[in-house]
Formats: sequence, structure tokens, C-alpha cells
Amino acid sequence: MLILGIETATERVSVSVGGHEGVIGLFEVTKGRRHAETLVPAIDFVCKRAGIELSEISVVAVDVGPGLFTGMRVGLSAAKAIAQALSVPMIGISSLDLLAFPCRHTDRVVVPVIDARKGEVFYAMYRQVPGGIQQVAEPAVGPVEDLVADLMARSQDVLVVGDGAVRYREEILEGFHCEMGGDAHPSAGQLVQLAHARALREEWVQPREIEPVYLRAPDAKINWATRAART
Amino acid sequence: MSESIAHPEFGESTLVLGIETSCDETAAALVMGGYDVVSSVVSTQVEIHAEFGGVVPEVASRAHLEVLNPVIARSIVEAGVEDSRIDAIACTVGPGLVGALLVGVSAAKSLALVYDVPFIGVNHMEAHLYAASLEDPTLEFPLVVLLVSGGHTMLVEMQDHGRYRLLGQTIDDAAGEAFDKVARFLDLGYPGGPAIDEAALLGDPEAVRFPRALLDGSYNFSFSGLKTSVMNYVRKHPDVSSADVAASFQAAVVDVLVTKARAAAKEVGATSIVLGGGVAANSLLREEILDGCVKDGIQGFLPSRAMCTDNAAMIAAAGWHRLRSDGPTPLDVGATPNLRLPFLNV
Amino acid sequence: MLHLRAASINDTHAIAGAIAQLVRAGDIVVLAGEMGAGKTAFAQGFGTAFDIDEPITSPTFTLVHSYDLPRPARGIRTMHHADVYRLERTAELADLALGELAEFGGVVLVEWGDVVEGTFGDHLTVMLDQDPDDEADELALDRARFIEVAGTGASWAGRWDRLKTSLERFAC
Repeated sequence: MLILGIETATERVSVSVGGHEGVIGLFEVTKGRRHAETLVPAIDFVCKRAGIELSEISVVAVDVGPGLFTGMRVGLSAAKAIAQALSVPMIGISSLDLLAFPCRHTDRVVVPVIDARKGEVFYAMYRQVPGGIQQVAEPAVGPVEDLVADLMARSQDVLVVGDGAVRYREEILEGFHCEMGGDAHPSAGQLVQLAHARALREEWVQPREIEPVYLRAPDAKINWATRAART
Repeated sequence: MSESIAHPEFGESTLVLGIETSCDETAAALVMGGYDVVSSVVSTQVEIHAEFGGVVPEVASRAHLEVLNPVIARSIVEAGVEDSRIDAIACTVGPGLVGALLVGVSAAKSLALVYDVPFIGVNHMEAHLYAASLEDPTLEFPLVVLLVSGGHTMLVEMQDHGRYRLLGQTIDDAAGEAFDKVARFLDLGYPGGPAIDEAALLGDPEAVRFPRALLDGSYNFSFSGLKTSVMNYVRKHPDVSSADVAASFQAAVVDVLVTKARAAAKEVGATSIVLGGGVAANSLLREEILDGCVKDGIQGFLPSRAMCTDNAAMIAAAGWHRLRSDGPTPLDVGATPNLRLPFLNV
Repeated sequence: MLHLRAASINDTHAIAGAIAQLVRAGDIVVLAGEMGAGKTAFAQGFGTAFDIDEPITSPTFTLVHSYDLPRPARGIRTMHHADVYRLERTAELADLALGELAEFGGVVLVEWGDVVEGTFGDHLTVMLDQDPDDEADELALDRARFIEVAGTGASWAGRWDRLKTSLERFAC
């Protein structure tokens, strides 16, 4: 079983193929925010170099966010189109899961933090369990101060990772003493590994069921009455 | 002058899948040989509730991601072909809303990779110029195309396939936007174009002489001042009949559009004036353009409403012409929100 | 808050140009005011100050128009001109990802942005209004305007004195 992994939820564009034998191809660029330009040539490159025909892919895995709106659109749209054209199922995985997964060998609480722009971050908390990691706090979005307050409330040994951790390093360390480290961005290599485990259990869905996770304030009607209307 | 065809291998039997997601509409179509529309699906024009999971597209990019796959699938089913029959994939790469464009471009390039067929990045405005030739392939160059919608107002000389000259465009509001805003101001309902059109039938177009911004004989347009002028007039004369204001406003807009289109056609020696864009549905504009063309001894061509508004058949058609002249677009192209037409320097 | 009067469209353009000299990459400028108050005219003056020479037209239907600066200035590469007039839901606004556009070397002008002002963080608000006492004929195309400018957040507090000085000649 071969899995194509597509990861574009942060500044990084990352594409990987893999399966039983682990990751067999991986391409990453983490600069310039050119997701739309880079992604499809990257898929072509990885498959060709790994000697794989796209028709051999049996599952398309994609990072469903939270993350950059523009990046996520590129990855999700490409992944859905490929899965539909190949008539194969999809596996969607959270960007926060992907950041936490490579830190699964620590005893600390792992806190992936993704830059949500305008002073806000997406974050969640995980801890080690036999064979992987488990989420112990639901994903949230809020100002960096909220994250610091949550860390203080928990008052445990913590490992903070992600581009949000890099950008707001000072603010976080000022508020709470913790370990900083690990990867700044999710990787399609981790995505393929996580998706492979799920694919073995046939935990996949149809392309139409894959939806982005924006993790934003609930949708509400814009109150035009607060203004003297649009006339 | 004739179309330069560097890639004759793409010909009358080449089947192009067109994809359009630049603004509000999600659309897919299959067009054979650049002229034969085999299928054309526009998300807001089909019963999408059950089939597409109850998603009702609102503005812009909101639903492209959910609706695009089903719309493409439907265009293939309606065409009655296997997807392996598709020879090339054309998609709007600009101008438009970046978040909306990215959905179409990413899907289109991915499909081109999976099916191993050429990808063609299409300029949305160029595609509008091809809309008329889909309904009347006998139109002869040079043409003057008057493109009027909510987002655009443009007068273009089409000298040949891929050879255009921008004669003029709006310097502030598009004509369709002025219709919509004036309709809302007069409380005539939404969408504003048809509402003004209907109200004007009962009004006197000469009741108020609203200003015509002719901009000193240039082919540019300005409708912002007219919109403000209507509002100031109504605020000062609250008892004026809405029908009279609607009729007078519509007369002012149509007067400017038709005057400039006819002058342009005369200057470039056009065989026809072609209308495009959503405002091409306006009954006074249609009547005046046709009348003017008869007087000037040229042809006036009014494509159907479905072809005037955003659709993917025109994307596929423009893509077919571009494929023959320029060949495939590399897969590392992105979306260009402010893409301009490749106008000739004159 | 600064209270200004623009006697003509040229003044509106000059005020916009003076503000453009003080914006930085990542800034959001909200344009408020009734229909016909001159929001797009303000955007035109703003774009001219960045040497953008293509027509700056209303983004009401197309939602966002983006203009690349011929010469990037102070980290600003693109001017985005947005309009939320057609939006009815906050999810539609979120979909425009205006914050992402701003952070990536952009400056974003948002017409009618005052209805969703709370979502923007630090920003500048420019409120335009026709001068009701202008004696010009009601059909005239160019009328005088009142313009109020207000800053929200620390980033504008730091620039306020310079902004005030550069707009002094329009104060009323």
C-alpha cells in the first residue's frame, strides 16, 4: 500500500510517498510561501525519483490544518483532485498532531504551536502513550497570552514546538519556563507514517468528506445594522 | 492576419476540460476543438443541495473547495465520456481572488499530472472575449467587445485570436456595481441589474438629466460620480419617483456605454460589436447596441446570458486557442490575482 | 482622532498620500463612510503615493484587488484593496484571510471595514463623509468631504505625532 502525503498548512511545502517500508520519498521547501507554484511539480518530482507511478498510490493523506488559509487551500484542493481522479480514499490529519508526533519519545507534555497571524496561535497538548501520542487538551486558537496562561495552569514539564513557538519564543519563555525545540513545521514524512497506521485500520474517508479545520470563531451574521446600512 | 498555430497537434478533436474558480462561481466544462461545448456546469445554476452535500455557495471562495470536485465530475458525466478521453486541462489563473483562484489552479494542475495531459493557464478576461465565438464561430475580426459586469467594464478591440488592444476601461466603479448600488439605494431589491431594468420600464428616462462622464473622448469609463449624483439628487428630492430615477440612471449608463462602443467600432473598422458580462442582460443596453449597429451598418452580437456570465466553457475555449498558439503552461505556475490581458502595445 | 476637511478630490488624494507615507508592511487601513463618500477615491490617492499607475477600481464585486508596487517601499510589496460590502457572514470575511495578505509584505485597505473592525487588531480607521454645507449643485461630481482619522493599537500610537504633523494643513 503506497500513500501520497501532502502538507501545506504552514510556510512549508512538503510532499512524501511511503508505505510498509516507511518514507521512501520526501521533498520540502520552507521559504517563500509559494505553495501553489511548488506543490504539483514537487509531487511529480518525488514520485519520479522514487520510481513510483501515481496510479500506484492507494491513499492520499493531507494535513487539514489548522494553519495558513492560502496554503491549506492549495494542499486540500490538490489532494482532493488527485484522490478523485485516482478513485482512492483519503486520510486527513491535523497539523497539530503532525507537529506532536515526532516528539512522542519525551516524557514531557508536548505542545505544538502554529502561528495563526495577528498575534494569535493555534495550539494543543499531547502526552506519550504506548505506541504513540494522545491529545490531552483540545486544539485552541487565541493570543499568545492565552497559551501562556494554559501552560501555567497545567504547570507540568512541557516541550513547545512549531513555528508559533519560534516566532513567540520570548513571550512564551517570559511567561513560563519550558523546553523549546523540535521541528518548526509539520512534515509530510510524519504525515505518511501516521496515515499508514490509520490506513492499516482502513480509517479513511471519501474525498468529499475531507474538510479544512480553520479553528476560528464560529460563523456569525455580519451585523450591518451597527452601521447606517449600505445605502 | 491569421491565428499563429505552433501546435497543430491539438485540433478539432482535442477535448479540453475547463475549470473556473476566480470569483463567486465554481464551474467546469468540456469543450471539443475550441468551439463545441460538450458540457458546461456552473455551481449556482444546478440543483446542488442534495448532490453536493447541501452547500450553497455564497460569495467568493467560500465553497470552491467543497464544490469543485462534484462540479468537475458532473461535467464529465454530462459529457458522457470517460475521464481518460480528456486531452488537456485549462484553468483560470487570474485575475481574481487569490484564495478562490488557488483552489482551481491546484486542482487543475493536479489533474493534469494524474491524467498526464497538458495544463493551460487561462486569463479570465481573455476567456470572456472568446465567449461570443462559442455561440457564433462565424464572427469576423476585428471585433469590438464591450464587457460589462459587476466587477469589470472594458472596451477591447479583438484583432485576431490572442491579439487584443485595450481601448478603455472603468477608472472607478464597474457599470454593474453602479446598477447594484443604485438599486439598493432606491430599495428596488437584489440583484440590482434586473431590478433597475424592471423599474425603469415604468419611468421617464428624461426625468432627470444625470451627468454622463464622457472623459474627453477617451474610451475610459467612470460611474462613481454618477452613482453619487443619483444619491445626492434623491436625498435632495425625496419625493421623486423611483421609476423615474431608475430610468434616468439607466439611460445615463447605457448612453455612455453605447456611445463609446459605437465610436470605437467606427475607429477600428470593426465588423461587429459583441456584448459580454452580466450587464449584457440589460434590455435597454441590448436594444440600443442593436439599434446603433444597424445605423452603423455593422453586426451587433448578444451572446446568451449563460455565456455572458462566468462559466468554464469560455475557459476551455480560450485554453484551446492558447494551447495551439503557445503550447502547455508549466506546472510551476501559480495564481496571479492582478493578471492583465496581454494587450498589444499600440 | 484627527478631524480634516478635503475641499476637493485632489485634497482627498493628498490626505491618502500622506497616510500612505506612514504605513508599514502588515498594516490594515479601514475605510468607512456612506456610499459615495469617497472611499475608492481615497484608495486611488493611496495607490498613487506608491507609484501604482494602473487604474485603482472599486473591488466591491471582486472583493480584493491586489496591486504590486513598482518599487517596494519599507517592506511593502503589494497594496491590497478589499471591500466587505457584499459579505453577510464572518466566515466569508475569514475566507479572505486579509491578515495573511497583510503579513506577507502587504498593506490592506478595507472598504466598509468598520462593520468588522473588531477582527483586525491594530489598524487605522479613515471615516469619510460628504460636507453637507458644500454649495455645489447636487448633480456635481466633485464635492467637499470631512475626513476623520483614528488609530487603534500601539503601532499607530507610535506614529501619531508624525501623522498629525503631515496632515496639519487639512485640519478643521
